[in-house]
Amino acid sequence: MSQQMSIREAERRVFRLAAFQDGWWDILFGSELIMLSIYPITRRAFGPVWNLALFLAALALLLIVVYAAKRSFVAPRIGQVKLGPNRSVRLGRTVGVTIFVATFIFFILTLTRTITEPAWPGAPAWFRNYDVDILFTLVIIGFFHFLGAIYGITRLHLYGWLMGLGNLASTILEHEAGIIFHWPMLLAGATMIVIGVVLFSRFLRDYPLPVLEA
Amino acid sequence: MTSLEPDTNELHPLADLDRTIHSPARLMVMTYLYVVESADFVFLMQLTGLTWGNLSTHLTKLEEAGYVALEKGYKGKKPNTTVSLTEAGRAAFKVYKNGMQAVLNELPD
Repeated sequence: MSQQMSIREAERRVFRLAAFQDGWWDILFGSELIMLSIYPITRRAFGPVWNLALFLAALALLLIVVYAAKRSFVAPRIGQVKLGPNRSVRLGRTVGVTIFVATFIFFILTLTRTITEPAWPGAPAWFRNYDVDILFTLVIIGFFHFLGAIYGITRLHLYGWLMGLGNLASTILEHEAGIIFHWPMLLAGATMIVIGVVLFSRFLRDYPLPVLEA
Repeated sequence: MTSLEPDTNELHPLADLDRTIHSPARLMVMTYLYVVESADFVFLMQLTGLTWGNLSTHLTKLEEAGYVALEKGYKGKKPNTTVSLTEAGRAAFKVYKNGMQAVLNELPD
């Protein structure tokens, strides 16, 4: 009875079924990480402007593919829902977007030296060399933990660690060993894609096309 | 001699519960509709695990009580029904929820 009366759990179930059950979000996000992993290589090949244009075009194509897949395979199986302006969904969305945007702006401002990095007196050299990346990693991990807790999706906790540590490891490898191919990020993206494909195959099995009576 | 009459004061809130909502299937439907703006028939079917006929019967009862609104349309060539809670339905669900929680909170561990 307490399960049935839990509005919060009902919200989570609705959101999971509507957005995360089919695995396409995982495939989309994993593909974006793989694109980011080769970004430095393509940047050297095409230059910054063309590389950005290529990246955005690939991203647009990816979004079209995911949209078409959801329309063709997912919607006929689970139908459609219009999520209400429910308080906790709105709150989660607002806080999540705010944190993400604030972190992104901070990261960009630091990269462009618009704001200077803190001096961290007394901190070890390895921390001072990668302070922004470490902080970014912690924020990413925290952000995904927050999303995972709000929406009740366990794998988001894993994705935070994969993304955060993948990004940090890629940065360190680039600076210390000159490896511009961000293979830790690629591994993180590939893991998400594999999970997404497994989820999608399970989705097709668990949600056959419904038999609708006249 | 101790009276064997049941103490109806403690049962009173239960006796007042809305019987339209107080059915496992309809309670499930109302709960899910409460947290969304609207959902189509197929989505409700997948979410609740009810069969088409079963869901249809329960939605008819809820519509007759004025708790849900059914909007029939088409998606391409396929008929599509969108379901949403009415204002009366939302109010009735809140009353039901508060009543049930009050009763459950009074129960001993």
